[in-house]
Amino acid sequence: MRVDRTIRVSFPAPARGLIRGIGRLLLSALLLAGCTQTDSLKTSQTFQRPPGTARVLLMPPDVELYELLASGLQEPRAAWTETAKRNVVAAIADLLRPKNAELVPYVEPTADPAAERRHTQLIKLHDAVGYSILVYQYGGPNQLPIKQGKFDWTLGSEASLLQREFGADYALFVFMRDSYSSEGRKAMMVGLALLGIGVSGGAQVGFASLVDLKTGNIVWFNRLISTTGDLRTQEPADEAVKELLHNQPL
Amino acid sequence: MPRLLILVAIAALAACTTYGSVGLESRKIASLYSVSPQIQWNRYTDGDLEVWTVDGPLLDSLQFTSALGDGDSLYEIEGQEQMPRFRGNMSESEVMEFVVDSFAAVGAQKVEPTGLAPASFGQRPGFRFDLAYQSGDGLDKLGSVLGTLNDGKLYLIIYTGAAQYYYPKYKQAVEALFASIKI
Amino acid sequence: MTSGATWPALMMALLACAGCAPASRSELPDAPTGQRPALATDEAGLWMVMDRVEQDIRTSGRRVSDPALNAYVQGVLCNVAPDYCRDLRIYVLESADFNASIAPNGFVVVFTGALLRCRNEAQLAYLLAHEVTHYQRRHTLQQWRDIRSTVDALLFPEIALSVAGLGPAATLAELGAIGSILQFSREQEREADAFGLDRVAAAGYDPSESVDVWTNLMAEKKAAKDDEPFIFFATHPPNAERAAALREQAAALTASRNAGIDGVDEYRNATLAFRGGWLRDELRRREYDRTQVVLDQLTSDGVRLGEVAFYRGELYRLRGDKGDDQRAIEAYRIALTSEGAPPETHRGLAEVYRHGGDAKQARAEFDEYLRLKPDAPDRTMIETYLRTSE
Repeated sequence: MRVDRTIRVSFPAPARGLIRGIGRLLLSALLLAGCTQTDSLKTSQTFQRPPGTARVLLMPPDVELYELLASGLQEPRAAWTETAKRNVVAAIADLLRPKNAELVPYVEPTADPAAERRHTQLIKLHDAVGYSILVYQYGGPNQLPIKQGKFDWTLGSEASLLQREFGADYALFVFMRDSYSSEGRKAMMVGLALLGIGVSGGAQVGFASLVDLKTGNIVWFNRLISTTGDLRTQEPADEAVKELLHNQPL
Repeated sequence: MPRLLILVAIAALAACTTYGSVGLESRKIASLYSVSPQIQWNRYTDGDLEVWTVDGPLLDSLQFTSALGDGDSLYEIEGQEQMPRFRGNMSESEVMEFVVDSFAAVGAQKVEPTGLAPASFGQRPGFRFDLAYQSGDGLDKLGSVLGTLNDGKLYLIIYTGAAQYYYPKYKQAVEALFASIKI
Repeated sequence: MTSGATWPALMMALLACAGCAPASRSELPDAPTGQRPALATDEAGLWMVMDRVEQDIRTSGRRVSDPALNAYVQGVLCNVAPDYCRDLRIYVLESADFNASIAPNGFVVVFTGALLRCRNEAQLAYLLAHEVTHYQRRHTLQQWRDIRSTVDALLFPEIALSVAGLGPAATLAELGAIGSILQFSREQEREADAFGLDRVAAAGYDPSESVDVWTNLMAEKKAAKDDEPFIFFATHPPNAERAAALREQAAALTASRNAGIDGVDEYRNATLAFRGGWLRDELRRREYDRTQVVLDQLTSDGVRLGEVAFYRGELYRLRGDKGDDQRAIEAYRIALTSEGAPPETHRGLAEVYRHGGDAKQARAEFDEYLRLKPDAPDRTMIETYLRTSE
């Protein structure tokens, strides 16, 4: 097994030489003009929600916003990120309310180290499962043949501890990274376009997953890649969240 | 999970590995022995390793080495010469140490081996032991290793998986697979 | 789409650029205490990213969570940074590399490889005081601002930011493996040494111990093969001028006050229990020439020499060069005459005798190992060997 020396990733390392290719490929996956691509996947089994209001545990949204500078550097923007997180949470709540589903905020059990450890392991397992879905399920070059044509991913029965602790039926995980072109970048893009050179603007990538806490099964998963969308103000954030939660089953 | 890997994954850019599949019929491993797979697996080769997985190597993984000889390492890191290397005169204890150190060399944390004991590798006498460790991200993982030493060569089968749900899920199948080895 | 420079080339470009940014740019006022930067600032952006990295570190598989050890290093940190004590957190991470680093939001990382190599509390104090100065003088923010304005025509945001050690790629893996906290400029390194040494002396430590940190590391580097990485040197370039400057400043500080303590007893009390595990991690790297230097330095300390000699024996057993089996036996035997040799010394002897075909001696040593270690993880296997090798 070969591992790129510069990156000691978790063993085994699924992503060889990834840094070398990422910049080029990540940007070439997007078009200059507005482009949004979502691919949602649903569990192979029939989805049955419990009667009445569904309680959805919203895990702390992993959202970060950056400004894309003319130099190509991405500057992390804390104020944008704070605002975006609030907008995203509000948008999710608004989207789920008419489906008779309410959000329950996740709270870390900091007072109880044993509980904290169990929560942490469950969240780390979700990270690993989410990554595996992205890499091995979406029909890309790493598609696992046996997983093809069905969607049966799970966190296992340990997930029910979240059901017990929060009285929630489902858990929703949200991950977003978003960058916005600075004025300098926009000017550069226009200038280079006149010369026939295409250069990317900001991009939005993300995924969301809905976990049935009774079984630990991932009942819905969505991947989002977009060159439009703005999380910094409520209305466009609502639009972006609608894309992110495209086809969610509640 | 390193966030950069998530970004890469979203954009479907993780380095390309072509996966095949393994059906239920008996399968030859590295021209050395055959096993009965018990369940369906996905498979790929990584250098000299044959790797089977159901849900992807982050969650569960069954690795078959070829015959390791003097000076061979279990894993390779590009550009790094210093790796734990097998020596033909190793005892089972030293092989266990070699596997533990190899895991650590590729990023496994807090690797603890237990239960080193004799075991059958097909018709040959061999050994086995269990492992507990964490991935670099801190996810608890478990492993079981079956091996045999023969005339200065080492064969290993290494089963690992996330401690929650995944390792237990395929453990029975893996034990049956171990029992099905025919040299 | 322009074609991409490869990652290593970009890294070199950025690091080189960091080096040639105009020197003596420390115009930033010191970091304030007890407050976070205002949300709309670029500094807040760095804190945001580093907060997330810190979260990962907190639950990382590498983290050493022993409360006593953590309390000890926290104590040393607060000794040299009484002003910033409440703004800083410190994490001990398992890694055989020598490294210590600080992030702009105030978390310190010290690798167990550094704790293995520090001889006393004063040396650890110098390391930490040096890092605290990077935080106090906001060097990372300064570097970020310099790079932000001087780099152009880089069209690969993820790569660039990951090289700078910031942004979505700033993960534990990068922090550890490539020392990706931005390489500080020469001027900033000088400042960190100078202010750091002031802190060390003000806290009552002997500042001349700082020079020993460098000379010990340089001795290890000299013994090492060319391609073996020294992460610490990537972010803290060693040079003769540096050691000389420290020596000079230490002498001046010592002249103007009492010599200061080295805290060797306190350091050993806090770390000795971990030393064996850290030596095991060190051996895992299979960089025998460097490990020999570390073992030599520990031998000259004269503490629990049985343990040191045991690991010397392990080194020879693992290296397995011509004559090493004999060297291993000698080292294990020395270990048994000194304090602190673990039961595994007998197992090491048994394995080596086994290599040499001396079953009688091997059996005797295995017997003794099992007698001394009832819960041996390889008991079943060894008992089988004892039965079948009669």
